[in-house]
Amino acid sequence: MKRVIIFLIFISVAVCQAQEVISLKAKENSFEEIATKIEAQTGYEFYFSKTWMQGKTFTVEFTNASVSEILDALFNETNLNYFVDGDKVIITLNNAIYDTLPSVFYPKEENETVTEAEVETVAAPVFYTSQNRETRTAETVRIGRENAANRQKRFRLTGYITLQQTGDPIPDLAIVVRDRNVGAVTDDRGYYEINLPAGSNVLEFKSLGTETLIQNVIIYNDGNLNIQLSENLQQLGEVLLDATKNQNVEDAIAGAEEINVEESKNIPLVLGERDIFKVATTLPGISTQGEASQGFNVRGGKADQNLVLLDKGIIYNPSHFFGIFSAINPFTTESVDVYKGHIPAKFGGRLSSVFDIHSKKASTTNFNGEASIGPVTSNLMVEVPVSEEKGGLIVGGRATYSDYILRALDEESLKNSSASFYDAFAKYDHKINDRNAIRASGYYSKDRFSINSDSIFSYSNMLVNLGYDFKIKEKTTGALTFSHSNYDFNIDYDSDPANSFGQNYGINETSLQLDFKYLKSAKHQFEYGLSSKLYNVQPGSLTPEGQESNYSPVDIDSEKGLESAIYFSDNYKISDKLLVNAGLRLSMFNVLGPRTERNYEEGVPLSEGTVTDSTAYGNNKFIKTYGGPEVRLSARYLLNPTFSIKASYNNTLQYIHTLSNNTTASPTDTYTLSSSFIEPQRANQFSLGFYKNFNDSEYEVSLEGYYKTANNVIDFKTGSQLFLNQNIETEVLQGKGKSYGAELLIKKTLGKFNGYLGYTYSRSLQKFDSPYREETINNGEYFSTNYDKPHDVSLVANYKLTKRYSFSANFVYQTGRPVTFPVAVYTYNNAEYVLYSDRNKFRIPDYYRLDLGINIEGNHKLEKVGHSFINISVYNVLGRNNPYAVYFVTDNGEVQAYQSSIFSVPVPTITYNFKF
Amino acid sequence: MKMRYDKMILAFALLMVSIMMMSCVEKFEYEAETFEEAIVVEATITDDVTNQELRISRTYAEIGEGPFPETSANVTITGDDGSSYAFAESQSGTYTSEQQFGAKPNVNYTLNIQTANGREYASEAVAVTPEAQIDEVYAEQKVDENGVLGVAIRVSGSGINNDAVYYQYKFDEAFKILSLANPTQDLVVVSAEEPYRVELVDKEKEEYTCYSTDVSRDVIIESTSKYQQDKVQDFQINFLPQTNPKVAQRYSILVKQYVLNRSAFEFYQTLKDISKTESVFVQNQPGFLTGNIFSKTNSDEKVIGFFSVSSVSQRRIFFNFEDVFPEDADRGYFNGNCGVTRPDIKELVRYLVANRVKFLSIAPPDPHPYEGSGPYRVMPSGCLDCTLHGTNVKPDFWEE
Repeated sequence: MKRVIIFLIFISVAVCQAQEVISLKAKENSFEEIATKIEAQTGYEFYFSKTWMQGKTFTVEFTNASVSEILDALFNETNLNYFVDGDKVIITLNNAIYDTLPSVFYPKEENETVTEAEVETVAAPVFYTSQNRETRTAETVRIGRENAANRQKRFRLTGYITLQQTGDPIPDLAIVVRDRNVGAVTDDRGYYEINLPAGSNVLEFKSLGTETLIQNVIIYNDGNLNIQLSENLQQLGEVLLDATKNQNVEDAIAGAEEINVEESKNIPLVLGERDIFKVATTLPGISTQGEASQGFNVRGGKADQNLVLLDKGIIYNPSHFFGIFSAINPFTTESVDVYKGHIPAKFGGRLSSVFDIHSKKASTTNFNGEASIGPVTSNLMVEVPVSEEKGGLIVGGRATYSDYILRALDEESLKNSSASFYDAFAKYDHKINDRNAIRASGYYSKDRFSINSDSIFSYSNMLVNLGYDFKIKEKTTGALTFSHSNYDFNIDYDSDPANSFGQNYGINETSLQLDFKYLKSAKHQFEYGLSSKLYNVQPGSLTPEGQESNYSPVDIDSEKGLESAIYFSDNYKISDKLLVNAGLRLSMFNVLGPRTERNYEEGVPLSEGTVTDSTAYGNNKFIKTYGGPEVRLSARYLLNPTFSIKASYNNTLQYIHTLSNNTTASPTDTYTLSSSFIEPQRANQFSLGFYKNFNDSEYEVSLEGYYKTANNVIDFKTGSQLFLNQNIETEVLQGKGKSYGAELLIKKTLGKFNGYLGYTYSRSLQKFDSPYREETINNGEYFSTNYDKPHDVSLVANYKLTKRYSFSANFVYQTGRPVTFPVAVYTYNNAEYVLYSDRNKFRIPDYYRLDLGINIEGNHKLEKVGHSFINISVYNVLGRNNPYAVYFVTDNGEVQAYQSSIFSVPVPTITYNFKF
Repeated sequence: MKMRYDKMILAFALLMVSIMMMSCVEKFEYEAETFEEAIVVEATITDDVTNQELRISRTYAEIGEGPFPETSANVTITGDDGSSYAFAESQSGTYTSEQQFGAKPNVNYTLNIQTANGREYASEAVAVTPEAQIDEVYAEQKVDENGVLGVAIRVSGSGINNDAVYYQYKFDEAFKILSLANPTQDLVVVSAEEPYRVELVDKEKEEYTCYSTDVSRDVIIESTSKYQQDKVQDFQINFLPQTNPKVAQRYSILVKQYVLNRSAFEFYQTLKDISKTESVFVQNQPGFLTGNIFSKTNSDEKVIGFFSVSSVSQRRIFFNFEDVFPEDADRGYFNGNCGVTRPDIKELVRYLVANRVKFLSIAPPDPHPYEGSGPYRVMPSGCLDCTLHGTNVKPDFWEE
């Protein structure tokens, strides 16, 4: 009752102060426009967040009305409240529940009890919000009618949680019951289920990016409670990694991380490009070989062992310009789930990890956009509502202007250089009805550069994705996905007409997959499905260009393969403490014709000299079939609500391999399919982790250890020619891999000062042994892989000075990567050469780097049309000349030692971002 | 507005340039942390009937320190037709066949080495490669990829039975060197102490026209497998900038074309690949390069080198500077600085004793503002004595 009175007093105060009378006429104006009109006529200034009223327009006409009358009328249909303080009008969003509550209660089935809400108090918590804008306390609801016959101690509460502004479901939202060891997390559709003890419960609904709602629930029977939460702009950017309260502790999945793209914007990055992969490499267990090496190494795995999925479709090379920039547009990307330990059974085909990238879903109600201008690229994204509440289109594009600039220059030495890239993404989502939704998306990226002046190198990725999501029953949902993805590259040489030719490589895959999710009960959540994909590889061709070219065409026979899988998994809650995610995936690979395979003498190394004859296989003939079960098991045991142990065992299979005899991954690496000679790579991973949250999840600490073995990992004979090689099997070596490590991650998720510190100790080793000398490396002993970096420290820190200014820092330390160094010099044909050590016997100097950044949010003035954000950052502040590579060149008969580094000086950047 | 636009372009351009420059490559002094000793065998015998020659050396620790010849080894080449050829050490580390011979078709040859310390090595059995011919060797003016004007030496060759495929080129260069002037007299020091005295005497040796030679150092190989025919066409084997003193007068090149077998070609291709840089971003995986010579004593021992039995053909061409470049174009000289000076007698004696200058002409009585006031006009020795850069003996093959 007390709260009611206080509320009334405030209302009356507001009424008293807003007495000035004005006239106002507005037709389909946004609140912003109306506020501007009122400000123009009165001395008032309005303070509010635009997002609270996104898309809402008002058509009103007032003559000689007081401001409070106008606002009362305006807000009548909304969740907004206002408060007049002197000449300031502060708009608050806190009593949304009044309007939304009745609509969220659904009667349960007939013979069951009905649910109803009773409002116990009517106080709007103006004071709560003024203290803490992010938390809202809603009035108590009563669920179910008490049934004297029902002696149950616990009741089930279910419901959907949606975003107030858009109606979109809020996934991964944590529902925590205070003072009880009970919690739940919403699924992709915003659906949750929670068992509550009978009687009074205090529920907290928490997620990043939304307000936190504290809800008193008195439960008498099973019931339903749907909640709408509003987006919370203030909190964005404050926390780097999405960590739903205690989710890290409660999930059954060991070794998984989520990267929220919006929240990663505060990490200072090279040349101002926001890059999800660069953020990923600040996490333990994920690293790159160097600043200009493509791809990343996850827990000692090779760069080709990562499955990079954009809305379920594969992207073969998600980077631009040797990995310096990511090819994934941050503006169209919502989040990335990284699985480096336990890989859920629905994913397969790569040994080490899954980067599951979710693109943004376009708003169906508002036209939104985001743009940025940086020194290297410009980026634009727009969300276009196509059909109100049903269909939305998101389109994003990014391009560099470097080529244009290079061409505009009158500088001779740069005339022959060029570098350009762009990428584009578009997605259309359409909700047909509550049960059916479809989506179509397309992605294209292209790079083109010339480093040696007589050759132009270009590559492109293409992805088309069609999806159909459907709901079979209340608890079963399905998704049918068709996707086609393509990667190709092309090198053009045109030094003179006689020596002009082009070289091409291409791979594409077409896949169809069907996934189901069945939320059987609070104990069991099943996921199952099947998938099949057809690979087509054009391993290489050479095309003479022009009449005068001396070259004859070369076309290596194409490769074809079919990879299929079925899977089933259960997220089984054995008890409140023990949660198991158990899955099994059966995968199979068929090597398909047409193909001509050579036969070699038995018991001797495969080489040109040991060919006996060859066998030709017809189209779609099964030449060879590989396959096997893949066990995906992960379990979590909760020692207490904030402390858990997780263990997992996974095995994985990979039927596609990169061919590269470079020390680092590069865009010219080609993929080849398993064949009669190249067996699939297989890996086993055991992991164990401890997860503990402190101080109400302000601090999250995790310690994970893993041990991984791999079979049939691929390497090559020294100096092998891989491209345009018809018989790649004579160059390939298959061996064993072994990696292990411990990863410590300490996060501070809340407060003005937040960030995380990661430390990894890891080793990654390989062994290639054979009775034949040409098939062994380092005498058949285990040796370091090219990316074995035992110590890795990563620190990301943010300090939020005010709402507008924040500072960020990023520090990295890594052991230098292994290299093969000379151990002697010799003279041959009047020239000096170096004799190399055993593979990777030495290391380049350790790597460290500090980056600093300042983020300036645009002012919070009302008149502006959008929200701007400026990022000023300096990459490599210390100017550390980190060696990227050390190499030895024989030039004019003399050996010269070189050391190269990519960013050897501090690199300052300013990027301007704009949201509308 | 136009101005501002230009300025913006410039600002962006500077930024781009700085980005490109940020990736930097620098030379450094290399010293092997651990040294590994190994034997190095350079052995190519040909189908030419001649005294075949091969070289054996050892690895060394520091760049520029070697080569260290392997002396007193016992070397033989045996054919599976029962032939055997013994080699004797003609120079330190160089072994020459005691009799003249050429590799015969359909015979597999094996190289056997026994070093002074008793270790034994043998090669795989190798047969002579198919025959090929040199169709043409010519010199042509060319601007290279760095914009440097020079002369390219190109060769065309083809397999006689269209089966040669793998070609290697080596060459010997010879070139004429002319001194800047041809004074007939020399200054000699009569007294190197006070009172200083010098004297003019007639020259005894030729110091105006000389010749010098050089050899190829790069691995020059070409495969015709990618071409429509077994034909090497206009293949550049050497490039000399216009200012290279080798081409300043008359230049000759003897091009030797060897046909390799596939494994030899791959060996040289790999040697080439791991000894160059692909780009700033990408490096080839280096490692030990296995050849076809192995240790019989210890199978794990690293043996560097390849034993080839090649068919060979060769051709020599000559050309003058003005055949390729305009006569008045800038030529290069072996001596960079050829300024005329007139040092005073004390200094002159010091220079003459150190062989730093040579007599050009007798100076006029008046002092010269730049040359000085000494009694003789002199030039740095290298400008007037070509024997410092070559030999004054005309090679046998030289044609004017």
